[in-house]
Amino acid sequence: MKSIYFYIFIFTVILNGNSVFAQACCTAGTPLLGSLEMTSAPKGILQFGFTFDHNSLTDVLSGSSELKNQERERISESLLFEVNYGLTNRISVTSLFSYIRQERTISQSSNKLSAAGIGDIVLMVKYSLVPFDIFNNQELSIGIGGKIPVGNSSLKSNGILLPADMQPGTGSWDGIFWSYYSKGNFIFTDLTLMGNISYRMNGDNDRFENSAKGYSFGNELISSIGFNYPLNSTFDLTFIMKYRNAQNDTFGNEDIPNTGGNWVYLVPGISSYLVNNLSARLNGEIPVFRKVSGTQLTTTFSASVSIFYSLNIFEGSFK
Amino acid sequence: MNRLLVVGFILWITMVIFTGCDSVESSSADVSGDWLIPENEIFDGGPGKDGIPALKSPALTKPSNISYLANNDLVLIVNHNSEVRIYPHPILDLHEIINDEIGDKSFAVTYCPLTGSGICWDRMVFGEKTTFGVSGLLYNTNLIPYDRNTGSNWSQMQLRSVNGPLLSTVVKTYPIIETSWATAKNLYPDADVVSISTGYSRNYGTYPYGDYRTNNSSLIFPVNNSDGRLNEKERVLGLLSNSSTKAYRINDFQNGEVIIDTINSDRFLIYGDSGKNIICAFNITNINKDVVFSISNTFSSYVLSDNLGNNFDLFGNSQNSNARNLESAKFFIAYWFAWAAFYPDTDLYQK
Repeated sequence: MKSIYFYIFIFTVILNGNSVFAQACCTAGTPLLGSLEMTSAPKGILQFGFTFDHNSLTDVLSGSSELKNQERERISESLLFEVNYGLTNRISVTSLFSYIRQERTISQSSNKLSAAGIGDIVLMVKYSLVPFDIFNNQELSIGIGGKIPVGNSSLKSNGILLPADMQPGTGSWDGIFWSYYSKGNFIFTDLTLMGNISYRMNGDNDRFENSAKGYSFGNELISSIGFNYPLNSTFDLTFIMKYRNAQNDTFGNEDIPNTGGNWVYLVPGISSYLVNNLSARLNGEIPVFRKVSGTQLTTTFSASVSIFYSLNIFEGSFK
Repeated sequence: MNRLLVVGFILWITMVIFTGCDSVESSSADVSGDWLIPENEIFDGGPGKDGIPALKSPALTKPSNISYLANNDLVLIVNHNSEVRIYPHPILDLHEIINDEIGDKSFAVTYCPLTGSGICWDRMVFGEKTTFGVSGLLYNTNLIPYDRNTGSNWSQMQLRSVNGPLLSTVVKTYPIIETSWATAKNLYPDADVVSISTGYSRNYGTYPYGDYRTNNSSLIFPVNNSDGRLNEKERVLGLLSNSSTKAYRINDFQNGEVIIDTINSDRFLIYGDSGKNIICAFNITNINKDVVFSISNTFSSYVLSDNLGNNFDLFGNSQNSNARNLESAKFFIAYWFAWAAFYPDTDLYQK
């Protein structure tokens, strides 16, 4: 019989491959909302997740039409460190730390600009309405939290303030709602059904020194649904469809043109239960539908690699 | 367990140590050095240097071949030795600068969609022909072009270099007229018009800034002066006369009017017709005060007449080759908020 750790991994890390790595044009800093990788942790379980995310933006869309011969490229890379701890079997706390690097290249002038720094931090409390156990094979959890603007949102190059979406942080306090559902042995197969809905409500920042008006990134909704299929005792495949909606950014409560939009991504992934509480995961993210507001540089593809580790604070309590 | 906790902690600390310092690297050295405008009021617009590609020697076509312009779309008109060229806003909205030449005159049509300001710049700077590109920077939400010979940055609405080797150099401008496509093709049916065959894939028929043109509350970047005398997005003719400035509302010129105004000791003739969406200004300081100007009886390319029997077009060119031309004043059209931000002491013409 597999240890309880195996199931914990499956339901807290590997199966939660609905890694909604939201990062598209005009999203500053960390893809924080989509980077909450782990589900609720049972009592005494401490989980660590370490993720590297690479996001390439080379496609320019006008609405849903792609414009050719573009001269711009953006790369966004994130190092994410998530810690999750179960206070009880229903209540857990999560924190997400990040380091962000943004790069902008203009081919015509060979002009390259990169900015990097510690990103904002997410703190969240999760509550399991239906805690996972190996008999009912399902889980329903919700969470609520906030994003703390510890990341720099006023980086300058040669004394000139960088654009908001080149900054490591957003400079705003944001509210986050998170929910997750999974159902194992779906329709009596080895498939596990997974679903996730997250919402980030963004506050204003005061990035402009010569204006009292606040700048706010558009509120963001991410919803995903998919399946996990165990290839064998070591590898799992995941297949997720993810929907992302971002509203327009605002300045002084007026919409900023060419921000916001709707995206649907296909997110294939493979996970591996390595050794002793250690697992790894590789994910890709391919846009299959994109409709942006106005004209925007947007995600061409993204990929991420993660390592997860879990341990029981009260060692010996699980067999 | 303790060992594992330590491992996790070390992972995080390692990440912080190796990556913890904020850093910015730029391959462009073109924005170093002194600025004549406050650096903390200059903003990177987002696309980056040349991220909005300026055009050079654009393909041209005739008005009869144009289908992507609506009658009320705005265009800019340049006239050199009676050769007329039309630069539509829908192309300038997406390229902002068109480097061009007519005959021996090399110029750049610079247009900032965020301030609504279109100005024609001489490309000959200290005897060297240059081209202008879009720096990607904004001051008072207004375009900062750069010249490719020296990398100097220029403020479009300040009409001078504000950074780089040509610091404080004032740009030479040429007359340029802004009006609607309907008026332009009526006045100049044989003009050359910039074609959408620019070599770039763009949606030239779609305005790229939503309701920005008409929403008086919508600004994308802050400006350092707000003047409530007019609505922010009202288009005005801004006139520069030595150290004085004055703004004229197009809406004050109903059905074609001529006004004579004096700024300091200089006399100016301002012709406008709000119905045809047109306004321009001439410096008539050196013209005898007994000369009386009026609107031409027929609206042709010659829109003005004087009591000496001379007719003049929008650029002040006389129909009679033996008669003197009118001297174009130094002016450009812009949104009121932008004009007031750059020229906070401006007068506003009161009818």
